[in-house]
Amino acid sequence: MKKFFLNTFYLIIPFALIIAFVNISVDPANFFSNEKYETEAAAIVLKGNNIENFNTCDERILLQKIILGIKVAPETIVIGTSRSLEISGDIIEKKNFLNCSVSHANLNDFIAILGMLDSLKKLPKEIYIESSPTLINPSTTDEWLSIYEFYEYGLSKMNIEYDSKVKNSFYYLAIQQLNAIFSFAYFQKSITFLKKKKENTILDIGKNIPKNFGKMYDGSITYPSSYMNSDTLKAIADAEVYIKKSFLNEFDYKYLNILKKIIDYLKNNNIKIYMLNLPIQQDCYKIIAKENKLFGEIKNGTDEFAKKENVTLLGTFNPFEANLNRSQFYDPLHCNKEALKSVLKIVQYQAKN
Amino acid sequence: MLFNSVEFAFFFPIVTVLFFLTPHKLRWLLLLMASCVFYMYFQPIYILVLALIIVIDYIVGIQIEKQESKKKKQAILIFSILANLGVLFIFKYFNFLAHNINYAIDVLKVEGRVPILNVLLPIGLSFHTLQAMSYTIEVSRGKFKAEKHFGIYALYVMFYPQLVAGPIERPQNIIPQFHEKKYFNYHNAKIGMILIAWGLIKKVVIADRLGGFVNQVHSMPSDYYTGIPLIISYIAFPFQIYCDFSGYSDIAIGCAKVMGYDLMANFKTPILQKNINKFWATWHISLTSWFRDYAYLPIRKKWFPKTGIWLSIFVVLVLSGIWHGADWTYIIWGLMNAILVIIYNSLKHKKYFTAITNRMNTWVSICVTYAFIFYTLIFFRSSSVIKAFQFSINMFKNIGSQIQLILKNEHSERLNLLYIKQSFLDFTLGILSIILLIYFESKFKNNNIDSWIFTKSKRFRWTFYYSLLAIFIVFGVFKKSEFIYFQF
Repeated sequence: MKKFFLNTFYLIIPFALIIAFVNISVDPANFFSNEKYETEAAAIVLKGNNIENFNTCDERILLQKIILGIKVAPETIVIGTSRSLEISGDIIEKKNFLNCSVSHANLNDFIAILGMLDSLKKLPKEIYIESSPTLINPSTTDEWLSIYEFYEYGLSKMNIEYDSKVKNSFYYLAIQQLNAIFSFAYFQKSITFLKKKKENTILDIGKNIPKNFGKMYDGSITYPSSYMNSDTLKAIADAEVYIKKSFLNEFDYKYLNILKKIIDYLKNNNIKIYMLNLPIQQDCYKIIAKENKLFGEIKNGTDEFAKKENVTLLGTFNPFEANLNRSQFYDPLHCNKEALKSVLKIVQYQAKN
Repeated sequence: MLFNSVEFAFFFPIVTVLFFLTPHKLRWLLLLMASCVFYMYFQPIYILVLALIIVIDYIVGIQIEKQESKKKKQAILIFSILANLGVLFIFKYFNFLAHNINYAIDVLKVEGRVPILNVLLPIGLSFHTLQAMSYTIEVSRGKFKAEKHFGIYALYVMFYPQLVAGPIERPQNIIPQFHEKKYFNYHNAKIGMILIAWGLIKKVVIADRLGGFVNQVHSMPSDYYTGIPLIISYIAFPFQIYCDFSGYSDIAIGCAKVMGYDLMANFKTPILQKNINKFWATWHISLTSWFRDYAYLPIRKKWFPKTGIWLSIFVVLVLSGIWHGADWTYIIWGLMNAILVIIYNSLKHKKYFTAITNRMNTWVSICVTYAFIFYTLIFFRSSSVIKAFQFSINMFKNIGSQIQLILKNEHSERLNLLYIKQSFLDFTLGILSIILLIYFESKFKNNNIDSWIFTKSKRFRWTFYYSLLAIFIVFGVFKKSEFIYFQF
């Protein structure tokens, strides 16, 4: 047995060491940067400048650093998923604007981010809340745990009951790092990242508009023009499979109740609320509308909710209603700035006040 | 638990080390507990279905042995078979039958409907049902003594390496091994690890990469693709399913081997056979031999003693089709294979046929054989019979114009037609992996990697091991992906 273990050791250890070394040193998603990347990016944004070659990082930590650093509370914010991350101040036509959306957001993120703004005394006067269908669905993402302290603060402020399942996720960050050290997928990502190191170096480009993946001074992001044509078709195909198989499997009114408590909290703080429906790519919309029974229920549920809560509902899930074309989508769920601009003009329901 | 998951990377070494640390008397308990954990990772509640099958067949086995009258033995056996098939029917075939009856009701405009059951098929049910049945049949035939140790019997049905996708074992092979005291054997462990590594390469590097192309084509409406993408899918799917399923079998056999257990071989390089008979003799051996021994031979002996091999082929392959899934696509797939084998067997002794085949180069014979087998697999993969027929027709449309578009060298055209929305790297790796697979399987000569690698020098072996590991890490597709045969 000793010989077997020794041989297995000789075989595996060199690979394990190489993988760990590459994953930690290249670190394309900045798992091991000890918030250095987020601090550097936040410093550029806080100077009022834009970032070129914005990489994957902990968006929540970055947002925390930005909110902590801004001197005056933003007048208007948008909060949502990556689908609303491209919304910038010029689209909404507001000057003191901050995009507080984060990728893979769920309602826990909303609670944590609003808790963060509240605890740092930077609540806005006006808020745009993305009402993505996935938000009122059981979520599997737990990235919000990196701003857990604000989540707890938010819960107490919004009078939302503590979800006991959350307790098990305390070691989220440690597990995430441990996974990343020996992950084969992260190793592959690191190698790809290394090949394009120059393109991946963060740059302060002042007031210029980023040409590559960028982060704007107002928290919004930009995509390179090439992004549109490279993997769009593949992404659409993947998403069609995903949408058929696992998109919107469950509609739990519990999530709508949490959203209601968030809305009540915002109202109590005299914040003007808008809800945003953002469009889905044409082919995918057809599939979802036809094959996903829950989609209709969620769509109507959101409309009813906005009416009941007397919140202005802007935009639409339906790309045909907004006269969008396929080239205005990066992938099935993400449209470009131009599309966002025209979609935000659609008023589905106008609140009385 | 999936063999290609992080969980299993911890589960397997922990269970194996505990196995060798546990006294022999308690090893069955350890393996049974491990098997329960392994199974409950998928659908915990369905372990009750498995428990029901185990309890019934355990009692039946003992009762059959106690009976002296042949008639009573047969009556108990029939009860056991009906119980096993009843469970399988409820979970796997009831809704299929109900849908078809309801369709007929609609067409005939008759009143009434058969209710549809809201049940999911327990993972691997078709596999462990057959395995449990082979036990009671063997006991009733007097070829195997009923197992008195409930734990060992339960382990026979639940042994985690082959629990959810086979190989479908026979009691004679595996139960005595559970009684034997196993010692750690370096050679066994080495063979086991090589099989596991090779199985993982087949699944993660080849099957999952090819799956990207195939799934893309089959996820789209049937008129979305024509010509080249369909031809690529037509070629890729057989390799995908072979690598997926044989990869699973290799990992299963390898895991058992490390602990000193020998499971039966399930594949013997079926992708390099010169005719369809040889293909079926080397493909999913544990299933085809099960149908041969427990379905065809008894039927033939009792009711058709004078019929020849044709009936055998028909029974085995059609049953195999039905076993795979409750859908017309699988039944047609089984029928098509039966027809192909019957045609081949009726022609193989004709002079003109042998004259043609003798002149054929080995590789040409292989290609011709697989052109037909691949065609039947269109039905296996398609979600409906109509889609399969449309696939067959659309495969020959627009090929010329598509070649012209690809030659124009426009990225979007290549992306859509040649790479089927995967990347250039995926496309290149897909082709390379098929070529390498064929190369290595040709070296194995109807055996598996373990019998080939030990003919090589130590230096070659170690280089090969390092290369396998490097290929796995750099070119593996590390998305959560189930094995295709789990659905059966």
